Amino acid sequence: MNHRKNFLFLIILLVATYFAFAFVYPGPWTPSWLPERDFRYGLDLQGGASLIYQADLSGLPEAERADSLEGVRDVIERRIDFFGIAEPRVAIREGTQQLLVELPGIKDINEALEMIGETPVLEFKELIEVEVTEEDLEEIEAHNQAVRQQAEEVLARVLAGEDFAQLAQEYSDCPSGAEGGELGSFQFEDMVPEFSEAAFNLKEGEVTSELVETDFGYHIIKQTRGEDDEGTIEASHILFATQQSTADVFWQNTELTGRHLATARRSLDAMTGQAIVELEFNQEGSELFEEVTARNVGQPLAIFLDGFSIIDTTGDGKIDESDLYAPIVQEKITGGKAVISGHMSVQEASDIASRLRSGALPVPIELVSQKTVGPTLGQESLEQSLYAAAWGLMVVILVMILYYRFPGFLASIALILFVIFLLALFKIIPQITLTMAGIGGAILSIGMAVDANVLIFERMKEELKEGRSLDRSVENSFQRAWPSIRDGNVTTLGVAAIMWLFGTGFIRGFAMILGLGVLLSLFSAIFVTHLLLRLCYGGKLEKLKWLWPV
Amino acid sequence: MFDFIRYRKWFYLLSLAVVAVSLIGLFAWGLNWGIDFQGGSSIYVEYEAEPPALSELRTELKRLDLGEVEVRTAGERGVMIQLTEQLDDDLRNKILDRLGQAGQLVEGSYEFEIISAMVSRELADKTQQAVLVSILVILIYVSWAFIKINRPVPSWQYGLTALLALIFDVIVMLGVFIFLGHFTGLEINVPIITALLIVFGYSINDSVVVFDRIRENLLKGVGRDYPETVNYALNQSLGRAFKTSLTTIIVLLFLLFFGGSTLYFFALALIIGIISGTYSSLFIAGPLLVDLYQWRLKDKG
Repeated sequence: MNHRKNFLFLIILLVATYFAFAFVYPGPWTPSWLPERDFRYGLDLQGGASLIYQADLSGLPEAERADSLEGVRDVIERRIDFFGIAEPRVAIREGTQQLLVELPGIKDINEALEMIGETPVLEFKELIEVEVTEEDLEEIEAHNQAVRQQAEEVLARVLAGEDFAQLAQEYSDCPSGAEGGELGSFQFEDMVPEFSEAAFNLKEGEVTSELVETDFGYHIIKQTRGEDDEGTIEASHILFATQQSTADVFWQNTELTGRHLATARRSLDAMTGQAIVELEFNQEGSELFEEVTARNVGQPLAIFLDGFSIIDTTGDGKIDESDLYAPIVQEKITGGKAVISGHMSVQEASDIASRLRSGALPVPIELVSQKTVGPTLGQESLEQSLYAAAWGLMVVILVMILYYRFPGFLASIALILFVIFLLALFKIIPQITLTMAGIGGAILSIGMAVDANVLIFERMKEELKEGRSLDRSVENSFQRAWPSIRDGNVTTLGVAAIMWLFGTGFIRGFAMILGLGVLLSLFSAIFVTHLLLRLCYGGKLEKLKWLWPV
Repeated sequence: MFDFIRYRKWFYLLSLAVVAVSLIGLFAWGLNWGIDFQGGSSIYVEYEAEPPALSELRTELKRLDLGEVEVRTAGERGVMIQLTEQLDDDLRNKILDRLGQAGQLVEGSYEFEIISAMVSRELADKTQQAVLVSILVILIYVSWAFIKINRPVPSWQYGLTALLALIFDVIVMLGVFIFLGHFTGLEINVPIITALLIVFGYSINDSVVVFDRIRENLLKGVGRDYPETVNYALNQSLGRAFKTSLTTIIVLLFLLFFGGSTLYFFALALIIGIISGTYSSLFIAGPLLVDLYQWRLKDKG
């Protein structure tokens, strides 16, 4: 019965090992449903820069410091977004006024430093219409005339039977020109009315006999597939783009900037209970704000931070040119206090407030620590240390077998399982980032992992020497060695825990992996080795005396 | 069977001599703290072939007027430069230029580090905390672990001897690094402190294993008197102590010789600490118990 249970455990262990191995080292043997994960490497191994900034919050009241620090963090996050680095990290270092910035694989560190180091710029922009002068109009008119003339010429060639696609390729100002003017299938509503009107009135294969004029310019349209049940047709066109004479609008800075904003906070509307953002301007800001709002009643006032929208409005998770945050000015605001209301979540209101503050308060940040590792150095260190680990492991196995013979061999199997499971854990636990320190910890734990087995086998030698049977010796030795194993590992785990709690960087990475290694080694050295030994009881192996240590 | 108790005085003498040498080094030269704890900058580069002579690099760099500069080799083809001041990009590029003129540098194999005085002070404070808390926790743990054995010497004495062994290990490690620091310019940095903390755990672990044997022997009634019980326990622990240290040292030796420059001194510190920890548990912690026991007998007598 007991033997059966051991076999069951063995099978479970083998299956677990197989999956752990397939997970760590993917290959044809990996089942397809097993998730694919990569090891996460620290900056010292993959190369990159790690920066620590100190924010000078001394000018701020105590209550606003935490928020401001978060504001600065957001600003830095946005700035490094533009470098297109995979997995950058910006974090506030606990208990400090410092920000840790990690830029894996960064190429131009100096550029990054410059960009991050700037104080955030908050701008309020209003919509400006640019008047079009008489002269401009004439120029546009002349240009459009020339465009029309060319369009007429091409139309004549199309009607004369020249290849539509080729002409589209040559003359069309539309990106579709590259595909011979093909627009694919579309419904009536998909295009501007003038265009659809003309295109839907054609027969399949027919070309418009006259130019079709839209806001974009002049089109020559050819229907390539007639209307189907869903009301779509296919068509190609050649576009001759014209210039528009309507007035230009763009966002222009007002005199108001972050310097004028005293504070911003998230609040709840007393009446509706909705999240709002309250702004408060300083003396000068109040006057400017009054002027700006006076001339923009009913108009939007856009808020920009570092040249981009203050928050993500398109909901795509990043802030770029397509985002625009522009509340509408309801009325002239005097007294320098304003409220931004509207449909926003509490989180959005918080974000807006904290970013407004970060731009409002030019919190100076200073680079206090910088570490840059070249891209190949880390790779080299990694290879070297893995090489060292592999050789170390082999020699330890050799020593174990020489000293303890068959039990040493079983312990070696347990040790190899230990390594496989440890690597699998590195991939599974998201907090683990492999650094040089962590690899040091892992290698040290290989050495320490055999300690429990050494303690047990020394006992076993004594027990066997006293003439006890194999099963009695094994069971006794595991039992008797346990207090030592427990006490010893408790001290190591204790020190690792302290290192993790008090340490930073190197120490933390080391402590975490060492602690994990020690725990796992207890499992491998005690459970796995014990199980393997139990399976030998009463078998042929037990009778071969030379297999056992004396 | 080796008679630890009989020859213990000789080993005390040896231990004291090692401690004395370390302390002389400490007072004469002091500890060479690295930029982690002092602030400053470091540049590490690798050469395609054997790096140029250090003296040549030193004279090259002297022209840049950098103040105090430390130049040493790191690993086979690496060169490490450390300065007490904080480099700006401009100066760093100048240094790299000079280094590049002296020999062909490996592209992409470099490391720069700048640490301000503030960050280093903070790191030093935190590390100090970690060391102090470790010591405290170990003290509490050891006294708790041995509360069960209070015959024939009180349990706090087990804790005391384990602690003395630990202090010995720390002094030995510091001693080695003082000498290395003085003669090779090696600096005490975070990895070395990490190694020190691990040796704390390792050394206590070794002593605990020895004491466990003593406890067990006392219960079984092994040995005619306490010194013999202890000696018996030390001999029983010898095999384990040797093999465990050996396996750990083997992997560390591979790390030392093939693991690259980052972990070189980390591995070295651990090796020294582990040897010392094994030695001190067998030749200091265990035998001292016998002395404490004999003093106690004399007091009573």
